Amino acid sequence: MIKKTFDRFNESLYIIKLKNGMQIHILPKEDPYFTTYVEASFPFGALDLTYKTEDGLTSTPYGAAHFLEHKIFAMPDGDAFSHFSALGVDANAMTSYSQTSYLFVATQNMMSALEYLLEMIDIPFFTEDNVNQEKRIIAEELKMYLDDPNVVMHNQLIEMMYHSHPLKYDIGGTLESIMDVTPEILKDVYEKFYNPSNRLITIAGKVDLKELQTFFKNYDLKHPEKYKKLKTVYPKEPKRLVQKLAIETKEVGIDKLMLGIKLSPKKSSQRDQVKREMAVSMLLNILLGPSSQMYAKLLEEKLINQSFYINTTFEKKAENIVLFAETKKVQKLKRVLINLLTVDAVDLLTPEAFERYKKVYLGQLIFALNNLETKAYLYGKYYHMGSSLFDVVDLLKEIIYEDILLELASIQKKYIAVLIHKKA
Amino acid sequence: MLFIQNDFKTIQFAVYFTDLDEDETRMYRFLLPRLLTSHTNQLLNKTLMSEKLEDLYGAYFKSRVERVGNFSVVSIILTIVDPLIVEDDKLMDQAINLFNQVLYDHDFFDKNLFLDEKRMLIEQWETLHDKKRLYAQTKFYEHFFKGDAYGTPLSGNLADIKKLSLHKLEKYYKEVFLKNTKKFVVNGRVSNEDQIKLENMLAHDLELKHPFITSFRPARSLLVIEEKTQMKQAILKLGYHFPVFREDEHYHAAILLDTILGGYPESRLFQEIREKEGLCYDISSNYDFYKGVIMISSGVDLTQKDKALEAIKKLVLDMISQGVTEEELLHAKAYYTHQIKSSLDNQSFLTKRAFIRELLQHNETIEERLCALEKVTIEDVQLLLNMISLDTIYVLHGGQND
Repeated sequence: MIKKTFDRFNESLYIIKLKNGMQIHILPKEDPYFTTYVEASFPFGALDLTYKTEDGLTSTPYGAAHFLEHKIFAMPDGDAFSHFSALGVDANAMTSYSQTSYLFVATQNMMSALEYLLEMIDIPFFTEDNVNQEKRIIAEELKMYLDDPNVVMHNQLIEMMYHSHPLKYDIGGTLESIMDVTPEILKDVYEKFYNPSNRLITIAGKVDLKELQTFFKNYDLKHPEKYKKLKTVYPKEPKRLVQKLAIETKEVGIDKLMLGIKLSPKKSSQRDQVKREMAVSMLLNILLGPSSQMYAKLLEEKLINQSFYINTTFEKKAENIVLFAETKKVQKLKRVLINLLTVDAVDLLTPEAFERYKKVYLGQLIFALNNLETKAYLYGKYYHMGSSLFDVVDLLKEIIYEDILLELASIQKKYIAVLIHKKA
Repeated sequence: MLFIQNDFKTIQFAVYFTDLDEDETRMYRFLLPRLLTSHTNQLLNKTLMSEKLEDLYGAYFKSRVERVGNFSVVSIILTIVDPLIVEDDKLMDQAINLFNQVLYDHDFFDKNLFLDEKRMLIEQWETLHDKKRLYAQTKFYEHFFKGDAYGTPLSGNLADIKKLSLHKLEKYYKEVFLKNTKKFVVNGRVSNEDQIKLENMLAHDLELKHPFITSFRPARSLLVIEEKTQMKQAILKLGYHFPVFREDEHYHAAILLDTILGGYPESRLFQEIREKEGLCYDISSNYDFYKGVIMISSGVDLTQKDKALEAIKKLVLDMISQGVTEEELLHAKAYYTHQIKSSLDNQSFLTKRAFIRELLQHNETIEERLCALEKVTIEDVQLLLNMISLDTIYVLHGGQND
């Protein structure tokens, strides 16, 4: 077991590496503490639609990773959720673009729940019946999102930006694509991506290190095989947009504006990639965050309300920024935002604001470390990105003012898609 | 003032302003925390306030209004990082001063900021119909709690909001709000010296002026409301009259009853309606112990909405007539015990818990609470099941797809 300490944050990290390639990262909390958070995560998400094997390329329906996440809870003797509940622990799962996680939070029966979590992952149980039943449940989940006009708008905007990158499909897939999922597809994906070699177990909170060490030693003996990691294949994505502007009339209370800025992913190390993501986020906060001159101006001119948000996505071979606002002056807001990002920004990016945001980011890391679930989730996320949650402080120090200016230069007017939903 | 000492990495400074929840003052109480945390006499606008918070390592204010029985509670919480971690010995003083300024340092409110907040509230109403789930929730509450304070949103009605004036708001702040019962909670690593500073700087807590009341109207004959809109699902809301309240001896049994009905993934609603019937993705029940009601909510397949509604109604009737099993009760106890223990590691929960205990004079320890849960029997649950009666059904659905 490897031990690392991060004195400044009063955090320790223990790492167990199994012969099969699986890693266990433990972030203990000293007594008095009641809760243990356990997460098994895989670097396999909604974007991993096509993968290369010795037999050639295999493609899966959109939403396959999310479907698999649902069906992992099916066990030969019933629903795994019930078993977790009977143990008095809270289980959950989530699928993102690049990762799938299964987790539970326990204050009792932690070791039994851990054993069951691995059993659940190691025993796939996909039948025609249970897969067909799940199609109905997932269809309702998708329809629930489709009843949210902002989700509909976001899906539409992403389709205006991407020609072929799988980012253009919703994480859950479509009402049509999920109907193509079969037990055979799930089994194939499961075998390729869910083997122990591809797995990270993050455990945070109240733990007995010795007990965990013994448990995983035994697990290693039972699962000695090491698997080859497969590569996902992405279609070539042109730099240009699919469609630059769309204006539609909808049954909405106030006009809605969504801007999508398509960025060009750069070939860089994973560490640099994380750094760039932080720099872009900092740039947008300085320009449009609550302390920015522009934010004050947008409020003063009644161009935005509390629904205004900015979202960045940095995924494999696809990066973008999305801005959203409900507004009664949609054309003016569009003009102001595009001008800001492509013309006026340089004058507003002050070194003082940059230094202030460095403090904010340090604070945000501490806020994240204060919450067990956020800490463990972010730990897993950064691990699969080839970095570490605790490296963030070092990365932050490395970002200089010029990095922000460089990121600003990558925003170009011709790569901004505009979607307007006008009130009927 | 209550101090909770622990080794969380952040420190919370919380204040809870408590008064009666009344129609005449509701919108003031909703808008006030937004204005208080947006500027002060010294930080004259939102930009300066945001800069100040950023300079304090991204410190942030969280404010909200909520109902606790017949009370309206406005909470304002400032969270900062522990100054020892960032090695900044000025941070604590700056945070205490800022918290004090936000509460008391307002000779007047900026007119533009007031108009901005008012505009945004009005726009929230204008877009309510776009947010189907929130819309369904608002309408369901309107019908289920008609004639009761719960029937009106915490922000007040649109007409009330439109009538709001800056002068009246300032008057309310100075003459009423500041004289509310105030409870302070400071949660995190704070030195004795800083504790004394906080005690001296912030006004002392005041005692409650009104009795705490939990009540609801008597049960009535079933009210069914159906509304059509453009959507792909149907949202079902069922309101059950369930006169068991927070202070009742059967409170713990009521919590377990709700857990078994729809409080977790092993619940009857989740297992039957979602897992077995495949009629929905989300379904749950929610017990409001201040109002004595259970509310069931689900988004279901549009073409099967009637089937789903009947299935839910039948499930509840079956539970009333057949009771719950030993196994169900055992699992619900294990689950709820976990929820209680787990919440003790959550800083925000501990802050709120300290306030509620102080407000309602609850002295029950965690051990006593867990013991009370453990003692609940099948017979206790059955006794309560007999008190459940269906009161209101609200259905919002995409009529055009029928």
